[in-house]
Amino acid sequence: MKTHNSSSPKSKVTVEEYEASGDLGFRAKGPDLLSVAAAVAQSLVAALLPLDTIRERETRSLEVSGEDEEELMINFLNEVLFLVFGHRWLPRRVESLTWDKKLKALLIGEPLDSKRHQIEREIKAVTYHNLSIIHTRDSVTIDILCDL
Amino acid sequence: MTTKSNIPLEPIDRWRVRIPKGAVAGMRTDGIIYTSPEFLAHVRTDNTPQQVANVATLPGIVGSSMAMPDIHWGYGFPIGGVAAFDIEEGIISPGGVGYDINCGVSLLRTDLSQSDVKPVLEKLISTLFTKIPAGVGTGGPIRLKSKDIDNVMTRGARWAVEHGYGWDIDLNHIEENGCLKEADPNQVSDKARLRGKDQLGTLGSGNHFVEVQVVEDIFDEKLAGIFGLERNQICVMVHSGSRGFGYQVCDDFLGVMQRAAREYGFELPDRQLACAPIQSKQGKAYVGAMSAAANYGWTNRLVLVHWVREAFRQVFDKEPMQLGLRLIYDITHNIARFETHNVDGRPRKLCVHRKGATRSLPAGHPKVPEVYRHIGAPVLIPGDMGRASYLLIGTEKAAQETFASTCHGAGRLQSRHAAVRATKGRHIAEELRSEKGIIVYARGRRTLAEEYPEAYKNVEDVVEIAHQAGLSRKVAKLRPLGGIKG
Repeated sequence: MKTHNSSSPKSKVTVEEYEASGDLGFRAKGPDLLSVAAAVAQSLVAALLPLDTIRERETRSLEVSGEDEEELMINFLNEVLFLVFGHRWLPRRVESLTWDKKLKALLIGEPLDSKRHQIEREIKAVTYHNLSIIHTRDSVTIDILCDL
Repeated sequence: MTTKSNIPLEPIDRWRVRIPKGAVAGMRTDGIIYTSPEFLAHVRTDNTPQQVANVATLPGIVGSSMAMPDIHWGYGFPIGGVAAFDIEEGIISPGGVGYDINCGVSLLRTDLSQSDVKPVLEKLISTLFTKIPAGVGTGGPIRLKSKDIDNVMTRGARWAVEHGYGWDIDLNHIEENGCLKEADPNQVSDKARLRGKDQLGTLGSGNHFVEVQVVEDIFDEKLAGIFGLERNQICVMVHSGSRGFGYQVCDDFLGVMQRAAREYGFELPDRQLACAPIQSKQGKAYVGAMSAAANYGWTNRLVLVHWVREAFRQVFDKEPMQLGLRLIYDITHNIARFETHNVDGRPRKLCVHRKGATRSLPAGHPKVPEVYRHIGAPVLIPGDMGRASYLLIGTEKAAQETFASTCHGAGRLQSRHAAVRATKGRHIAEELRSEKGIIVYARGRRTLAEEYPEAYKNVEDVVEIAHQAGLSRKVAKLRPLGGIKG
């Protein structure tokens, strides 16, 4: 089982936001898949509204599966989007991620409060287009594109 | 994407180029792009020819993989993509429909002229803005219970009429009368239901809008007369879709189709083209869910039309019926439908995917509503918020060449980021007001920046290609006076 906790050294993960064909991409690099996935999830929320408007009041857990790493990543990030647009719940950060047969995530945040939270853009979905997950001996790089 | 395409584009005539079968490994047929020599340079710098070629590799494709004049890059299929598949041997793909299932356009006419509306335009736009829920993820006043949402899925626009959000006669002016009978609520996830329960009658964000327009030009007086239009007359256009409900259906089935493509041994050049045979359990399930989302989209637009009528009632203190606020037509430009087309001289039942493409049916076609069967189906092409939109009519040539399809809009020229950068420090709403007299209200300044007119090709150029190529024929040009955006 692989595990990532929010106490893992975040400074080792870099996330670059870029544009492509009118849409939004993230290129993230870090020491392992789970720390990069956690950072991309946080960047995804940050692309919707300022993270500092989200209080750390409660936790939510997610569980996703996938036939391969790509499917797992897409399913995880789309679940994060569903928390926002389906459950109207805003994750501020990923507290922990574990991956055995399934990917299990614990997120910290709060319900959307329209008085304090203004979602600035809609992300329809995280897509498979040009999705890449590259492993080297000491790093993992994820490139992922969202449909706005 | 912005890498220059190396795919060969062979001129066929002034308005068409061909991607020959064989240009990309696995192509089963040619690709054909409707464009002009002027637009071709832009098409080449995009990766869209590759996308047209990729679609040509899909099993069971009939005729060519086509793209309409507003072609631009999309997920899987290009935006502006049209492809038909044999219903026995072919596939169905969520990537050929898009995330916003049944995104489309309604056009209303009124008995009002520009001089009636000008003095109250500000009040009218502000009333529309107050009455119509808009913006990212916004819910509206209609809260659907589980049974209601099932009824929306199966009854489509009729649900709106039955609940007082539209007129019975409206149904005769909507493609498919606002309901696909293939809808199957059992194929729709709880997630989609959750997203859809409070978004009926909401506009959304991005390029969606409600716009008050004036008839600026008429190209066919006789047809315009049949639609009840003359110069200086006021119309209202609504552009929206199936909201989060449709996005979720698409997303759910992209996952299903990834697994299906593996199960059926499809080698796909792009995972966003994930698909399943139409006759497979996954294919049938997607048809049921997509049709349910399409019905949600039609219901949504008819409720929006109702809010428009309510706003006019309030501002003009007259019943909408007295103001002549009749629906001219409602079209969808993101959908896959079962249709019969002549192929090599004989009728074949096909599944036609139109992703950012409008159906263009000629006079006499049985799918044209009875009220318009003698002239053909109206084609509605929305433009950007500063220039124009168009009403056209379907043609026989489109029926022969493109499975009865034409363009759907202007097509983006700049990315959203580029548009935001280009408009930094500018006040788009104020510019539109002071330079063109167009009043625009928007929930977010970012939306206005992303959607500023120059971010799009000039719709006039796109429509001209469709007109000259014979894919649809111009009837009227509508100029925006004001509108609301999410």
